[in-house]
Amino acid sequence: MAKFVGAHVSAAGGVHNAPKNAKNINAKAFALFTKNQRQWKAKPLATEHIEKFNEELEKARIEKKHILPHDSYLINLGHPEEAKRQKSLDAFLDEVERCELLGLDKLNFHPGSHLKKISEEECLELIAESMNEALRQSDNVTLVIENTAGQGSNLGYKFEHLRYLIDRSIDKSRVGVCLDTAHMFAAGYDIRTPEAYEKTMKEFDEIVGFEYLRGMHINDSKAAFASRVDRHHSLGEGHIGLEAFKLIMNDERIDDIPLILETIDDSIWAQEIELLYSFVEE
Amino acid sequence: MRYLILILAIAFGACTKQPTPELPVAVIFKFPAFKVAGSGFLQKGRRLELYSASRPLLDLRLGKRICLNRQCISYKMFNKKILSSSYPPTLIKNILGFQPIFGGQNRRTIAGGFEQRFDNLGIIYKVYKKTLLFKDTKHHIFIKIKEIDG
Repeated sequence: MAKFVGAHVSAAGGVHNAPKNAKNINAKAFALFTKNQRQWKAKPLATEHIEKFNEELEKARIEKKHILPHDSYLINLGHPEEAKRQKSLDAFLDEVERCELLGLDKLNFHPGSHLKKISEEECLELIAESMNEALRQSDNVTLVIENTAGQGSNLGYKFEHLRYLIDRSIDKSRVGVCLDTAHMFAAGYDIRTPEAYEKTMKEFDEIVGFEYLRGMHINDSKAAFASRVDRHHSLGEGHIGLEAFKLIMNDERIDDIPLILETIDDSIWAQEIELLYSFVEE
Repeated sequence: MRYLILILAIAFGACTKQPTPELPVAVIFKFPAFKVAGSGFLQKGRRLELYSASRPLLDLRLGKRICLNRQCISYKMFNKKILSSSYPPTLIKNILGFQPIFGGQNRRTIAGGFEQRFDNLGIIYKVYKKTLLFKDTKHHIFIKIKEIDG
């Protein structure tokens, strides 16, 4: 089996609960927040929690390379104001450190927002600088840039944005990307038919490159095509439809990376995971 | 009699060295010779013991010589074997003591501590908020120590 599907599971009560929750839905991968995503500060990870996390991971039979931690939504590495950008960078460094302590090799993040105070180019440059500082101060963690729907002033809605950040990186071996299907669709990249899917993926490969793909978020979209609105939906319930997910599950370029559901109804994640695996053709 | 006991207690207390506290820490060491990540206890500038899943992983003692898992060598030899011969012998002791390195050159105060950057050497060293980071990109050395809740 070359596909590793899971969901963004809860780590409430401690990071060790995330593998437990992943196991309960028969996941082979998962995403988690290593701290409360709505708060700047968090208690340092306790030894006991780190050890329990490793134990639960073994029980769930999930490899660390199939875990895609996500940073806090408060962080904006491209914030136009220096003090606020520094606050974001400090929090981001703490997130990287938490991954290091848990032995996780990836950190997924949204690039940042210009808040209509600076140009897209200036904002991308600030994000690149922040990323480079995080690379300087860490070692094993790959910074995984997520594409966005382009809602508001969020950057990352064009493949070219992702490429720019890779190009500016001081260590390209530790930079990757995560493609969110709902974001891609809302940003104007169609994946609904085999032809549209191939065209979009070819464009992705030419501009970014599959060698940088470190994970995917598997979501249907409540928002219309090219609407630049970020609204996830359950698989098959939104505007994308199931065909795109069948294509993903049979695309060899997407093997051996975490494929993470962030769909809106967590009570059906187990069924959605089962559905995705049923798409795999022998 | 009561005063005599009190005086003796004060005198004895003054003569007794306070033991260096053992701090629970999470540690990542990445050297060309070996890599290790685990949690354990640090007596700053004296001893570091690491465990993984409750099994001993590493025991580093800093005295007149440096002992790694009970194999004792000079600091100079330790640098040659594990770190880099270009480092001063005191480097590892300074790092594990959370003290400035290279005689405090390029020291800059940052929130919760200090940092030293040597761009020409590819070295960044930070001690801040119960965290220590030493990274040497040229020699592929990475040390991170974080005080954690026990």
